Amino acid sequence: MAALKSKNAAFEDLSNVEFETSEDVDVIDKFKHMNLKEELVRGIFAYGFEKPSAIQQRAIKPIMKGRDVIAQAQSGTGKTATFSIAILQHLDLTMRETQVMCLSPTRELAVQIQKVILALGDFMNVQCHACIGGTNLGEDIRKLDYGQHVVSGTPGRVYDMIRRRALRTRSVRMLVLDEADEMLNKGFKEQIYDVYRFLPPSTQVVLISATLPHEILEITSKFMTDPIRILVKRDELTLEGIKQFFVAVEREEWKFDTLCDLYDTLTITQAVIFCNTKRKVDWLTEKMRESNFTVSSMHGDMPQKERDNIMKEFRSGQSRVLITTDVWARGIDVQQVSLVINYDLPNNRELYIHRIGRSGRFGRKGVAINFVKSDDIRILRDIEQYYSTQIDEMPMNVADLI
Amino acid sequence: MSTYEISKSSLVSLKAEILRKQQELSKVKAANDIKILNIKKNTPIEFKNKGVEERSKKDLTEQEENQLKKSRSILEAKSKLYDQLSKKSSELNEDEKKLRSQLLVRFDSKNSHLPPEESDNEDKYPESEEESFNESYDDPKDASEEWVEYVDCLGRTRTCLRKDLKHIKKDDENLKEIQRKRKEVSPVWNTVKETKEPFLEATEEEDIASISDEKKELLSADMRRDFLRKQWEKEEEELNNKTNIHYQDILFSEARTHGVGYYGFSKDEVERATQQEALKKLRKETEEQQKKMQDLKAQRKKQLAARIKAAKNRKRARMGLAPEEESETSVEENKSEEKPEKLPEKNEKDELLEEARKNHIRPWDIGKEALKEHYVYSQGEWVDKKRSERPKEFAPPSSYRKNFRSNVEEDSFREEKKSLKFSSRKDNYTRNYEEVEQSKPMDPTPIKDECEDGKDRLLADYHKINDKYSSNGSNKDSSKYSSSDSDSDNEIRGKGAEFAPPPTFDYYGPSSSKKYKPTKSNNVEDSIEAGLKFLRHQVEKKGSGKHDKDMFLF
Repeated sequence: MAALKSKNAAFEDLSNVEFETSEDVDVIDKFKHMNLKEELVRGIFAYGFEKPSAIQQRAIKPIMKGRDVIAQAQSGTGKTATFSIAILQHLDLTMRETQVMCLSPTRELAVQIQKVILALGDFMNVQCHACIGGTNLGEDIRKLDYGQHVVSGTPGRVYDMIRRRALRTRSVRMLVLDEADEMLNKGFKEQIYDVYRFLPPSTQVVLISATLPHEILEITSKFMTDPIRILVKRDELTLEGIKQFFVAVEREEWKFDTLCDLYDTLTITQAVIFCNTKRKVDWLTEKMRESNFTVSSMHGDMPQKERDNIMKEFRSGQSRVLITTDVWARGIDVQQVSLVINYDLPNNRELYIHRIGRSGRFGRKGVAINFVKSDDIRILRDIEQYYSTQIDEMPMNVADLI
Repeated sequence: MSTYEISKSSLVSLKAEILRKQQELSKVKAANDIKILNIKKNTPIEFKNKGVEERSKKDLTEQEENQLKKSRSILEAKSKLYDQLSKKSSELNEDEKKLRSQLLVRFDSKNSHLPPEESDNEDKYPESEEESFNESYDDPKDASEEWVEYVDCLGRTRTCLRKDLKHIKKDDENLKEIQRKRKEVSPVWNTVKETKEPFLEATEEEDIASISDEKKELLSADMRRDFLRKQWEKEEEELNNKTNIHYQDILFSEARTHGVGYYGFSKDEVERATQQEALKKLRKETEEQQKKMQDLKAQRKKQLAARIKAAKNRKRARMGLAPEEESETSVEENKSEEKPEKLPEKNEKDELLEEARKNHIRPWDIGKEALKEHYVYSQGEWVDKKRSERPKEFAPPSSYRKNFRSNVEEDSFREEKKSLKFSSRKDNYTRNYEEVEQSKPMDPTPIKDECEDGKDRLLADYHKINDKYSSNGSNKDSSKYSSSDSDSDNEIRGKGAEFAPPPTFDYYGPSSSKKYKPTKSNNVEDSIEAGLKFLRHQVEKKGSGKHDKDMFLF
């Protein structure tokens, strides 16, 4: 019996197991070698992709083959397009029923995914609905009633729609969790479980994120079958193209002056400024406007209509500087953003990667500037070390790097 | 204190510096007053560091100087010609008129726009600018003297006096007319315009369509934003009534660079369909053309080959040899057939893995209703099901499964634990018992657990399959999941069946009847001990060279 127990101990703890990229992952370096539908290939090229990125070369095929996949890649390297392409290839367009469900942590991200799927599937006439909170329930139900091939949404509303039987799950063959680590975190895990319980058993599950902490990988065995893993080591997680700097300020008040000094640099293209709380976003916005700077702001307490409008303005380039919270940290893709400012340092290491990843989209250059008080420097050094990256003091010619 | 001192000293030095500069300036002024005047007038904004010009003179080689001279003379000739051409048409001679008609510049109207010519243009320029500057900022005495902006037919924003606006508008109208005519004349221009405009600028145009041209340039940033918001709202309302939504419908004038193949379809469903149809047709044509070309190429190649062959044969005939036999084509065919041979073996493995995956039940899936219809029961699950239907009084005494029951309760779906500790532990219980059982008939207590844990056993099953197919040395995967399992499996294999037995083989296989005979001793620990002893024996017999993992087990 004692022997038994000691043996068990070896298996008890998955936290000592190192998850590695699966061995049998093929690399396909051309879209046309992936056996995709012709219309889909046309959509891919029309959207601006010419050559598949590293993650696209590896992850599209196993997802297409129906395997459960855990895919990790650096920010802005085409993860959304990766699963979108696989989804579109997977669909039976003659059947107007929900076949793929795609869940993401924020409404804006869900809408963005809908956009990408519609763009890539433009030649296929795919139907994709964004099922998000803060919108009219009746409309949502009506839209779902028309029949949608893909539903991209946030867990709360999607679950609501399933319970109301507006969203029929019997034909669902694939569940995608974008920003998977966030989706399986404390706040969301329950909701994901609720939705999952309505899906047919053994639904294909795809997890995607730039950051996949160990504890998340550990729980994947609960709802995935022998997944293919495509992982990135954390010292390769920061991109060369995104230069990271810090500005040391002695007091909190000085951050504002520093920001004002940097304003001309912000407006070279587009910039995002992150604060840690909604109240601080409001405060900073107010203060910037008082000083006659044009800024827009967005956070989760705003009505959805307003959030939509601000997103549209920012996407169309009407506004150039956006002050926001971590609601914007993950996944949002605006090509012209080349500068990210962490007015406050993020609360965890993962968020840092996601925040600075708002710039430098798909091979473009980006700059991240962190405002650090003297006691914050330690945190920054920790981040620096954790990701084996370099965060220098901001040089005078920072504008040249954008 | 220190700052005061510094400022004091710097004040003194600053004063000295100013004095020095003033002196210098007056000296230079006196020396070449005229020169300065000239420079100032020509380039009022230009500042040059001293010495720059001298250095650049030094840089000039003779060749460069020649080139400069040449370009200057050419420029002079050009300006002469221009002056000639820009004379009033009545003053032109025949040749010049001819030349003018060939050029695209409308010299006549150009003249009327220019300010009346002055003799010393250079001198005048800064002054005139100043004038206009003043005018635009002073309150106009007369409404007609006010400066207004307008957009001409080419989309350029220009400024003029209000009194001139009427006149200019008329000119503009003329220009528009000319443009229109030109479009009609040249079909190429026409098509280019028409294909480009609606698709590339469709969203922009529609956004601003409702605002009249006069209003457009008067918008402030705020107003434009409000206007755009209204526009988006309208678009969204339209979307509500549509059953099919496409990319264009939700683009909302996003500034995104698309690929070269981008084609902005119409938002109108019918038009969209026709556009897609047209594209498809084009694509088909291209494909046909490509195929034709390829066929043609192939045919030519064939012909060439035939000709070469004929030539060779002729040569051979001349040398008195028999004609060459056909061999190359058959070889090629053979090559293409060789490929698929390697696949079946891999497929077999894939199929097995696939099967195992299909049979796997995820913890989160347990209890789903659809599971029953969807899923083919394995023996263990069937027994489990039947057992749950069985009246309790027919169940074996609870003392049989004391060890395991305590765990079962914990297996709820909403367990809060983040790690997999729990499930993996249970996993091992079953495995251990399985190993023991091979050696000796055991009491049936573990069966219940086996069923409960069917999914994990199954998971282990396809790792077994994996192991079987991968070579002995490079077996990272198996060690990660179940090192003990693979080892015990090897032993089974050595004994008898080469194929991996079904997951429940050990309990429900042919030998099961023997196993389930109630044994005299109920002491679990004793039997485990015995089993382990047996296993150890076996391992020692086998030698430890190949499997160091065995050592790790005990």
